[in-house]
Amino acid sequence: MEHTATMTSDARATFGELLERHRKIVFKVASTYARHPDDRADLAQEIAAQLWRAFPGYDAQRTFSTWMYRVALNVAISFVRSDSHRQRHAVPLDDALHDVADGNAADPETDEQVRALHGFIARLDPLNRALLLLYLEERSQREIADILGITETNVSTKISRLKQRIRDDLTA
Amino acid sequence: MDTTMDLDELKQAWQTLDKRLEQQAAINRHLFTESRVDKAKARLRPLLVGQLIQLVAGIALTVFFAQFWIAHTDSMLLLVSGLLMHAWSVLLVISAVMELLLITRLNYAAPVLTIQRTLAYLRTWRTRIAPWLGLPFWLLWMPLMAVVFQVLFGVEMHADVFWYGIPIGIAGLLATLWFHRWSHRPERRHLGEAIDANSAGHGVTRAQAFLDEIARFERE
Repeated sequence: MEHTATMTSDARATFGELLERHRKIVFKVASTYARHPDDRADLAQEIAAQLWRAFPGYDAQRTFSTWMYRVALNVAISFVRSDSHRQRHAVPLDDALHDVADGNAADPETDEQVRALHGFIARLDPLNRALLLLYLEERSQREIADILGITETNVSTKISRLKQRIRDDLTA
Repeated sequence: MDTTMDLDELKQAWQTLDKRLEQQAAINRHLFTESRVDKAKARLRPLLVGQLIQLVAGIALTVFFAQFWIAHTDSMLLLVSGLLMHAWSVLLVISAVMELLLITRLNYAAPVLTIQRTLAYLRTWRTRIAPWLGLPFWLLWMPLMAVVFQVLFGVEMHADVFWYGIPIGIAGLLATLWFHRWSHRPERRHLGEAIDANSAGHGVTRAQAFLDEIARFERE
């Protein structure tokens, strides 16, 4: 399981470069699954650690971002299901959302939209949250199917249902 | 507060969040230092190390108890005691191998549903199956004592211990099983989950609930 000890300096450099280029994926996943800033930082570190461990098994023929989404989402879903996280998350949703909104934003309406988005994300179960994140990231249905391990047809059906749920939930 | 929002606005909000995360990512540039990654990695090791220790201990005990009963076929009490302890140590090895197989299958680069299902199985195994390895000791302490007396002092334990010990052991076993059932009734769900969390770190109910959630996600 421990590959990192044998990772060459070239591989380390390649990993560092790829991670730097795609680091936003880590932050997006962490932000989608952890509301509390401390939890977000912990989760981002956990994802980075797992990426580091899994990197020697990465097949360069495949898309790096797909591989990264798989690792990041697996870590994040496990993180939200862990006991320690559950205990630390006794935070009212509204309080946690203050951190997400940008106090200096010129447009309060935009802040409200970001809050509504986070509110909607928080109401989804971890698997549907992964689907929403990949959909909003405009990943192809084939890539979503590859990341989640379901068929493309299934992805298509789920996205239609998710869109309907968005309309039902967010149109007050 | 106007909460009316359509799909386009949701995507727009995501883009806004994307820009904010970009700024946050620039602030958190130090996140990916090796020392921090090593620290996070260190937290993942105990599970694997614990199971490796259990496996080595289980194999050593299996060999020890096998040698013991083979050497004492002339005494029914020692033969049965050795065989019972041998059987228990084989179960210990099987349990460790099962967990190690599940842990080594945890390649986080595999599809999300595959890994989450493996994790849920691991959680179920740790909470539902593994803790039962301790339960037979309500009775197994007697054969264990018989083996220990023979090995350490070279004397056979008095058979009367079994006459007193077996009814007490059966009563204890039944009381434990009754308490387990009682504490896991739906109306005492929190007590049951707390006991599971203490014994193995995760709740059976939640592990099973997540397996159901995965199945539902695949089906829908």
